[in-house]
Amino acid sequence: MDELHNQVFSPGSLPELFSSWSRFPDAVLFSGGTELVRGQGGLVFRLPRNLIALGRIEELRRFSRTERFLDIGATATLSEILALGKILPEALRRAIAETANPQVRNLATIGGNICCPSRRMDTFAPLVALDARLELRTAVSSRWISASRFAPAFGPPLLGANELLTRIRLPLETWDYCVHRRLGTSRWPDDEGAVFSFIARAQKGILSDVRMAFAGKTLVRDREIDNAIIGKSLPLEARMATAFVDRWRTAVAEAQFPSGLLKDRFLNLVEQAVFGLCD
Amino acid sequence: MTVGFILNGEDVVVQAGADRRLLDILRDTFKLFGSKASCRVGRCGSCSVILNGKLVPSCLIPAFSVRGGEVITIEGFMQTDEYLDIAAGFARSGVEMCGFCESAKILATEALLDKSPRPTREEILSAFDGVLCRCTDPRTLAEGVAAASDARQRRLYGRAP
Amino acid sequence: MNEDRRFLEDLSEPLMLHAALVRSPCAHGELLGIDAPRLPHSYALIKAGDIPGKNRLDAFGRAMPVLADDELSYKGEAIAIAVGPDRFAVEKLAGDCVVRFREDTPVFAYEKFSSDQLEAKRTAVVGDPDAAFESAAHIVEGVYRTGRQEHWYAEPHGALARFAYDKLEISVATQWPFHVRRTVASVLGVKPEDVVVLPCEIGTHLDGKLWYPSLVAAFAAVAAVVSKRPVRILFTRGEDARFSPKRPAVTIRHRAAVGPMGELIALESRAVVDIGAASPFAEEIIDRLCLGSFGAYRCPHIRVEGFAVRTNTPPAGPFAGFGLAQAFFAIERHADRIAETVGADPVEWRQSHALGKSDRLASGALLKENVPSAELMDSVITMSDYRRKWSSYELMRHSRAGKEGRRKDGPLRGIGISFAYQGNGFLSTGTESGSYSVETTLEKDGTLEIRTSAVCGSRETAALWRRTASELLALDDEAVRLAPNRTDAVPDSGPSSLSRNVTVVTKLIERCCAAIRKQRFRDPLPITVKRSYRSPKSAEWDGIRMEGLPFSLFSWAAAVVEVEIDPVDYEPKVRGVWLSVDGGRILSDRKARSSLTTGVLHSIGWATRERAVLSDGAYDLQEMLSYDLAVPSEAPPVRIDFTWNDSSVPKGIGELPFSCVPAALVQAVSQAAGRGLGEIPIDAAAIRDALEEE
Repeated sequence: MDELHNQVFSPGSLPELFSSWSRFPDAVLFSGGTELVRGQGGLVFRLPRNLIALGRIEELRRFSRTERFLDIGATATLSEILALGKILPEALRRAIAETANPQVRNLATIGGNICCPSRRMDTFAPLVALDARLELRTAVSSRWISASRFAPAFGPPLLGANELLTRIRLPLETWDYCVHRRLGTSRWPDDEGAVFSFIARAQKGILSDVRMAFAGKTLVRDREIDNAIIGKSLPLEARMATAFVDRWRTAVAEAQFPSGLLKDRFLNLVEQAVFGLCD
Repeated sequence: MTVGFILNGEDVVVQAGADRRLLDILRDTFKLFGSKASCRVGRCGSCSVILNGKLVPSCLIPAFSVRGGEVITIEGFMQTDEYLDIAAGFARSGVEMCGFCESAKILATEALLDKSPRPTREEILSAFDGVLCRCTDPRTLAEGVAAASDARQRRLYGRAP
Repeated sequence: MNEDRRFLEDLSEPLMLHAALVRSPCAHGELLGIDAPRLPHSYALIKAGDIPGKNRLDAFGRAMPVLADDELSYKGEAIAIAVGPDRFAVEKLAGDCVVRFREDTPVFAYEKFSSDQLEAKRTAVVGDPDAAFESAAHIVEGVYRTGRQEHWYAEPHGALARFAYDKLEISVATQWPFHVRRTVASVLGVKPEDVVVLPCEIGTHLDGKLWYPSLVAAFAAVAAVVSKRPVRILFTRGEDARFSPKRPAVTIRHRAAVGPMGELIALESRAVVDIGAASPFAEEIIDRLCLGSFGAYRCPHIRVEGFAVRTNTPPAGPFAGFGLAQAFFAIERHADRIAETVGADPVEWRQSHALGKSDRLASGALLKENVPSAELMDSVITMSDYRRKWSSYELMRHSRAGKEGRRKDGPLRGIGISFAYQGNGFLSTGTESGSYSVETTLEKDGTLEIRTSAVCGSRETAALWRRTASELLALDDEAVRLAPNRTDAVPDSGPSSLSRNVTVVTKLIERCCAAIRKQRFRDPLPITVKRSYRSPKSAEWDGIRMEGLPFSLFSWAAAVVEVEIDPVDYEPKVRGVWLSVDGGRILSDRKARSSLTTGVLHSIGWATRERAVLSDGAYDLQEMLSYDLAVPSEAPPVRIDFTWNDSSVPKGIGELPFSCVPAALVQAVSQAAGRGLGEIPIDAAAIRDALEEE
């Protein structure tokens, strides 16, 4: 065929990566590659002309842990992360366990999942709720950003030019209450698919922290509404739970959701989660 | 591009476009027809192979990802004792396979038993979340995998489970 | 990996070329031409004008072009065949062709149709429905819809054509090898004997490979003859899911005249099926829709109309349960509506109306066999604890209405019951020759060879044939073999569909073996016997007068389905399915259970999550690639009971789940949601609306 062939770079280290990337700034990063090839289905695979395969960079695959944090390398596969077991916060563990299927989880990486340009994928809601932080690096700089700031409600994540996600830092905190739910019967990203995470903890019978996030085609979260029930004593009074739900009902404009049905499902989840604190 | 890797225990080298699917390389170049082409989007499991020790959909693996790696297809796996455990277990329970999904079911079973030698029923059924086939009866399949696990325990430890 | 079990995609030939189709982007219009890129050496583009014989596929009295010539009828219609040595290059070449056309307004709607959309029509009247309606105590109306379903058989469509001496051999996965042969022969303008069909491994096909493979074989054959090389065509899954025939959409309107105690006195029904741009089975499906309109119930006065409507969408085709499954859904739902209107118990209504021995189907001949309606329904009722559950779910439903904070309450549950039958074979063979044969030879070495063109999707049926023969002739199972079913070596046994394999072919084998048994100690070996089946005119079903007997064999089933609606996402979750089956002779209890279970799961899919949706006259690629098939971990418990049946005759049972389960499931969801629903796949938004209303 007279087509241009692909050029694939396989750097063995971050400096090598940035060097290739600076020479070919349009090169697309390839870790699991599942997002690049997802839904192609035709006989011929179409990949971007220039690719940088991240598989040889050890640093990007590592796990490390302190008392307070768990660091996960961006090219760790979803099944490698699942294999960490109980140390993984429940909200994230359950989201990953229900993503795609076992074969795809062996390929798909958390970095690819987070950086998906067209929509928020399955790990996003729990990462936002857990207040995960993401390390982003360029050839000359490094910064940390919270997951909730990393991607807007719509549209691609806020990566700078030739900026790479290298690590995900998960706070290892105890959460007393976790509601996780995956919506959509298909495990594959579609308009009706989304993940809902609601976590809360209490100290001496008082709600000390509440975090909620919902991510699918869009990201939905509101710290102000979360905070409104912080400081209340448990079991939560029904009228407060109702007020929480009502605030969300008002806050959510139709346009945020791909469909009215998804919006209703979201509100049902909000209600189920917050009323669970009344028991 | 030149792609060198280990295929079913042998060193091989093939010339392929970087974006050629591993599935197509296995079938077209190596005539290994056990991995089937179906959905081509990683959903159905028909193309499953073991790459670097992990069960993956070969339809989603571009040639360049295979370089320096190790691939085991169903043909290679069938030469192992582990395969015999599974074949025995499936035969004992009457697991009928249409032939198209055979490699998907066998390799999914192997991937499960490798990780979890005495799986629970729930673990067994979840192992087939990536096998889409109209011929699957879950109950018989679960019995077959449990029987495969028994067969393996007997072979390895000589004891009835 | 068994070398015998080769699928088409595993086959190749030396010097083989690959073929890909250029497809119409226009749903309705006139083809003006194709602008192809410069063709590299050894690549070709084959058009309608290059077809050596007739540009036509004929089946059951209907025809369609192999390659569109001037009229374009649906998006995806094949216009040309690109051929060349590299499969990827050919695919690209086909995709790069630009089709020039003049567009006409396409017609996608089928429920309201114009007379020029009408492909086939059936009207039947039994008794005096008008008088019955005039004196009815209640008139109960309802509209029911069933959706399209994609087969997702194991391997997508394809065919390989190769030259073997003076013949053309076609390897293809097909349920009807001799139809492939005659289609290819006609398209090439040669004698049927010049074409030899070698059926490939077919797997679980759900009736998706009945006539369409003949079209695909024609593509390969034309390409081979024009290019003078072997040619293989293979659809990708995406292509197959978008363009191959699906279970069609059907809408059925019922109007029942009901007596004061709920007695069904008259039924007026109107069934409309969207067959797409063409379908060989237009007549068969409306006959089945009409026959099934009153289900397994007695009804003295009937007026039924069936319409097969053409739209500018891909041709529809058979799917297990074909016609009757849709009809049973509607009548079972309507039975519930009738029972509810008069305050009757759904079980009692069914039992009091169910057909029994010596009843007639409409004005047809008497049913000769026992109809075990009471036993089957009692069995599922007992297994599922239906009565207690139904009562308590009714109570829960009533106590729920008007309450606030519903979501925190107990679960939303419901339970439903249904009753249906399966008949073997086609209702009418239309213009098909209708004479199908099986041949057997008892060899000198004492082994028996059975020769039939019938195609088995499962080992179970082949085992049944071999066991039938071995029992009759007192042979070991190993002494009986099936000849490879190539068309130059076996007689034409007709299409393998609608349980004909289990019934008609088995019967022919029996007759052959019975004849051999008579001759074997009298005449020298080898002895060859051939027996043929031709549906006797007198017994044939007259769909217009509803006379005769539609089937000589009926199998029966009752089903109970219990569901729980998730209050968060409104999706129904099946908690259990109980099925009680009268299936005649069952060779392997375990295998029958296994295949009924898969049938139950597929029918649940049809009712709940499998959506093949047309938009702008075509199926979207991404949607079809993510077609929502259930996986084993999502399967509900299924319990099956076979009633003792003193019939030694095997009967087809594979379609029973499709006729029973969806209606019982929707009845259960209706109870849980507090509103009668009548469409499948179930729409969660409709459940939401029902629950909001409460």
